[in-house]
Order: sequence, then C-alpha cells, then structure tokens
Amino acid sequence: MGGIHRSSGRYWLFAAVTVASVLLALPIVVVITSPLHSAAPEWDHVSRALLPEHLKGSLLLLFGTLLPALLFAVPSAWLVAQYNFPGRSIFRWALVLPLALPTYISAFTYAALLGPTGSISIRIHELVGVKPDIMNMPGLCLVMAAVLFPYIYLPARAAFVAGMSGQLDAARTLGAGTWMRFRRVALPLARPAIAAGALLVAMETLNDYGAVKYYGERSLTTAIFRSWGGLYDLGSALRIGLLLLALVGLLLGLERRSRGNAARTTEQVPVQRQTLRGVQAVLAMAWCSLVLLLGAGIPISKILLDVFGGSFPLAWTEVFPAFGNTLLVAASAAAVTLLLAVLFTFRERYGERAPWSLHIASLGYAIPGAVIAVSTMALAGLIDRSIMLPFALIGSLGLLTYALAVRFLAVGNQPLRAALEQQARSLDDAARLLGASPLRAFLHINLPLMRPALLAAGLLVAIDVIKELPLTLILRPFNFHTLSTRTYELASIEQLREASLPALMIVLCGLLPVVLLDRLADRKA
Amino acid sequence: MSKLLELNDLHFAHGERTILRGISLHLAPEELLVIVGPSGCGKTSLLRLVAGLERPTAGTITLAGSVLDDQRTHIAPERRPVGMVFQGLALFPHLTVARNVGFGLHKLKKDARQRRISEELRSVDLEGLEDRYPHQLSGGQQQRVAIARSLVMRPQVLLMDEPFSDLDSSTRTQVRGEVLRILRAHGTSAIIVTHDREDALHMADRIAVMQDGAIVRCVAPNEFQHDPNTPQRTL
Repeated sequence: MGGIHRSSGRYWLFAAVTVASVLLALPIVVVITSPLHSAAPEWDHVSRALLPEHLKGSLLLLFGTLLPALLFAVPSAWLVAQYNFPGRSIFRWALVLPLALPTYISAFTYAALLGPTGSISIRIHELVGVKPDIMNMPGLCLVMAAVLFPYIYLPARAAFVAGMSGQLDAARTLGAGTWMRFRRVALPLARPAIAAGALLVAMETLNDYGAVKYYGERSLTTAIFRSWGGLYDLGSALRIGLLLLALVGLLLGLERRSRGNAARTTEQVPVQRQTLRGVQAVLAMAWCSLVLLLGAGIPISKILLDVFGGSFPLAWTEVFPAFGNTLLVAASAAAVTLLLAVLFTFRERYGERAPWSLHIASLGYAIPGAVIAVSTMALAGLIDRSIMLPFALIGSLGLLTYALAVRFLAVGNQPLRAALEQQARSLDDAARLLGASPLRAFLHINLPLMRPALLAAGLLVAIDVIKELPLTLILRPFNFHTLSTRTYELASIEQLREASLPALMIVLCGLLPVVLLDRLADRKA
Repeated sequence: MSKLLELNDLHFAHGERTILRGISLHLAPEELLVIVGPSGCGKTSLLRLVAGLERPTAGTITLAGSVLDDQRTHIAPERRPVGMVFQGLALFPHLTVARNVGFGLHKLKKDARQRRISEELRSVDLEGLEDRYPHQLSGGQQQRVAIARSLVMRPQVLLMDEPFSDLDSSTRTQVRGEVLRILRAHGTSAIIVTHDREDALHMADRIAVMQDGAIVRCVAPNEFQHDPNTPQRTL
C-alpha cells in the first residue's frame, strides 16, 4: 500500500525481520555459491568415482517411486471421490495414514519381513525354496511409494470431489463412459493438483537418507554423507548439495510449468457419488484395501506386534531420554519457527515489497535436510574458527534448532499466510483508521483471528521435526539421541525389534497432523 | 459556505492505470456529500485517499486548514481525524460490540473509555448489546456498530463506502433512516459513496456525480432528481 509512514517501532521490527530472513537464507546461499568459496580436496575423486553412480541412483529412485505412487494414489482418490462402495467412508481418511510413517521406519519393517533374513522370506523359503528379498532398488521404490502416495492422494481427492462436477455431468450427457470421463475430463482437470502432490513425493524421495542407506542403495543424499562423514570433505559435500538443489529446482520448474498450461475450473459444487454394486464394488474395496495394507497396515501391525507381542527386549525407560530430547528439539524448533513465521507474515502484510532474503528463506522445505545440514555445518565451522572456540556452535542444540527452522519455515509460514489471506484487508484499514499502529493492528486484530492456524502451524512443524532424520543425524549435539536417530541407529545394527518402540512413538506423534491434514483437505474441497 | 475538507486537483494511479484525474471537491461542516457513479469509476479510491489508506500521485487534501496530503506531506491514516465505515463494515469478528466500539480508545483510562462506549452505544440505540459478537446481530445493528465505532473517535469527517449495499431492500430503507438520524444528531460531516439513486436523494445535501475517475457534476438533490440524464434506480 503506497504512502504509509514508517513509525520507528515498525521500522526496527522490519529491520529485524530482514536480518532474520538473511540469517535463514544463509545456508541456502552457502550451497549455491559453494564452488566459489569452499575448497574440495576430494572433488576429483568424488566427481569421477562417486557422483555418476549416486546421481543415477537418485534418478532411478525418483522415477521408480513416482510411478507406483501415482498408481496407488490416483485410482484410489478417484474411487473414493466418485463412488459409494463398502468401506468407502473408512478408506476416505484411512488412506492418509501412511503419512504418519517416516519412510525409514516403513523400510525397516518391510526389511524385517521381506529382507534376506525377514520372517516372511524365511517361511516362503521353507515352503517353496525361493527366498524373496525386498532390499533392492525396486523394493525400495515400492516401499517409498507405499508411504508417500498420500501426498498425491490428498490433492487429487480434493480435485475429484469438488472441482469438476459440472464438467463430468456434461461429459455424461455427451455419452462418455466411466473410463472416458476419467481420462478425458477428470485427469486433465486434476492435473495441477496431481502434479503438486507428485512434486512433494519427489522432494521427499530426494530428501530420504535412512531408507536408502539401510537398503544399501545409492543416492545424492548418501553421497553427501559419504563425502562429509567418510572422506571428511565438506566442500565436496556442498557441491553434491548444489547438484541436488539443481535437481529440486528443475522439478519445481516442471511443476510450475504444468500448472501454467493446465485447464482451470472454479467450480465448487460437490459431486453426486454413484453407487457401485457387485463385482465392481468388490474390486474397488479390494484395491483400496491393498493400498492401505501396503502403506500402513503391514508396517504398523509389525511395529505393534514387536512392541506388544511376547517379551520385549527394550525397556520403556531406555527410550525416555530420547523421548525427552525429541520433545525438547521439537518444542524449541517449533517455537523459533513459529515466531519467525509470525514476524514474516507481519512483514508481508504491512510492509512494502518483501526483501529477496524473505523469498530465499521460504525455500528451505524444498531443500533436502542433508544439504541444509552440511551448509549449516560449513557456516558454523567458519564462525567457530573465527572466534577461536572450536565446537561453540557445531554440535550445539542452538545450531540444530536454527537448521530445523531453515528447513521447516515454509511449513510454519504456509498456514499463517493462508489464514491471513482469508482476512479482509478492510479489517487492517479499519483498525488503522481507529488510531492503531500497524503492529497494534496485527497483534490485536490479525493475530487473534489466526489462532487455529497458529496451533496447526506449530503442530505441523513439531511433528515434521520429530520425523526428521538426515539433518538431525548430522547436526545433533554429541551423544544426543532423539527418537528418529535412536530408531535409525538400532535398526542399522539389526536390532529391529528394539527399534520398534521409538518407531511406534514417532508414528503415534505422526498420526496427529495426518488427521489435521485430512480435515484441512476436506475443508478445501 | 465555509470549507472543512478540501480536495484540490487530486490525481491517483496504480502503476500505469489512471484511477482519478483532477478531482476538486469540498465539504462544509455538518454537510452530507453523496458521491454517486457506476462501479469502477473511482469512488472507493477517492475515499481511501481521504482516509490516508492510499497516497495521491498529485494534488492536495486539506482538512480544517491543515494539509493531510501534498507532494511532501502524507499524514498516516491512524493520525488523521477521519473515520470510515467500510463496505462490508469490517467489524472485528473476535471482539464484542463494546470492544469493537472501544478499539480506538485504548489510550483512555478504563473508566473514561467505558463512559464513551456507553454514550456512543446509547446514541445509536445499541444499549444492552455490549457483550454480543458481530455475528449475533442483525444487519442493521451491525451497521450501527460500525458507525458508532467510527463516531466514538470524534472524527472531523466520516467516510461511508456503500454503507447499505449488504442490506435487502426492506431493511435498507429503515437502516438508511436510522443512519441519517444519527449523522444529523451528531452534526457529522460525511462523504457517502453509493451507486443507489434513492440513497443519494434521501441523504445528500449535495450530490457529486463521478465518471471515469472525474467529477462531472456537483448539484443539489432536487436538481439531480429532475435532471433527465439521471438514471431511475441505480447508477
């Protein structure tokens, strides 16, 4: 808005927001500019011996996961949105449940069942003489897709439910059968929603470390760990991070392009569902059951069986320190992220053009945790060396909180921005004409109206932090375990039954935002 | 006629798009000036300039001899003695009637604030509804809360943007009568924007007709009524 005078209080607050956004943008800038400033003594070896195989692995994993994820998500969303069949009301929300599982936990449980020494593999071997083994690239892709498909299912379902009833009815009156309506009308109209979901699946796939490492596969994320942890070459790790960033940028560009060409509909009339009967109803039910079983049923049952079935090797008290640490990290990261998100939304609402750093700082969620971790490590190392206090920042809880805020700022920011967009600008104007400064208007009018969004944002950030693995693994203080690092470490030394208790706690925490997300998606629909 | 508010050769543009071109107008004390014109002609932008929510690209705005806007000066909206009733009213949904009306009085002590709120609510016949929330009120009651919230600040000029646009035709006539009574009782000077001919004829001391960002006529209501160019219902 043109012509609003800056009061000195607001000026200082805006300056603080700009400084905070620059601080948050720093790790991203460090990665982008890494070839200019960091020495990479092993780069020659890394680029020749490591990079080609790991890049190939990442691309295989990406497409190998996206295809089955689309196959799981789109037909399920179409069935649930368009038809009535037995169990539909349960599948509608239950198909979101796999999101509660971090990919590495699902990967461990499947390995315990269908790996070379898995209980089901051994039984099958005894019966038919062939031993199934899921611990390879196709198996990994399938496990990842089974957990990540709800990222596509949710937006696709919302699009199929409310965005196209008129067009589908029109197609019907023009003689289009079910398949033609789906292929020629529903799919093109839902394409932007499906593409947005697929982008999230792709980013989660590229971000993954625990599952890929455990299955012995290679990806750019594991290459970052090898360069940094194996070769002690942070410069090479940063350069691999830059490559990963370029890949994410390419995916973002593709998604944006697909959105730009998409057919649009503004219709908000819900569809009239048709009722399936006989074989059709059984097939629909069987498909949704299969997808749900693969995504949530099998891994959650395995974890529950390990924890509650028979004697359990790990005492609850052994997990409590990790649980306490997890709560501490989640609470501090959520508090810092939320505070920054509130400041940023204030700046966007009442400021003039937002500084460039604000846009860069919001990119954190698109950047894999390992990339943020190594760039934060590079920055912290620089500061530690310049103040001659080794490990003042590296290995501190403060640094971990900062990096988590960089990674999850967008998760906290998004609900607040959406809530603020719903508030009429005339509310701000009215408050200001009644003598309120922008800060007072924001604190007394905008912020109280955003209360549900604040709660949702804090919760979403906290849960994401609880599930997060690669960043926490690199930046956590020495000898400091969270539920995710404890699960990973126990699983990586083949103590899968022991790992199931912290895994269960993570899954239980993860269920909360899943329900929240499902409700939000419905509200949008 | 003495001049309370004076707009002199105001221009306003959003990027390349010119919205107001050379507006000159004045408002006398206790006068009700109604601005009419078709949608998109710049009526709301004109009110936002007077309120200070936008800054003119050229021209001056003077209130009681003090410059509010010119090339060098821009008084922020929270420092202008100007009140505004917004289209859609912009009542704060999470605050009660009393807290909506008292929002701008936060610098007063609690007793003085309560007294002012009670006085204002009495003057608009809303006593007893202090603890209700906006959604618990009828359209007419909400309208009166919005007016009370502005008038309690004792503005020198009140701006009203399409104040009756959300009301159905039967309540519209009744609410319009109530609003007119309140404005006259307070001796308020006001600029009211509408595209409804009846609103203009019933409320105005003078009527300014806007078209394409300019004032094309400024006349008394009877002259406006008998002008063959004036449409019969809406503008």
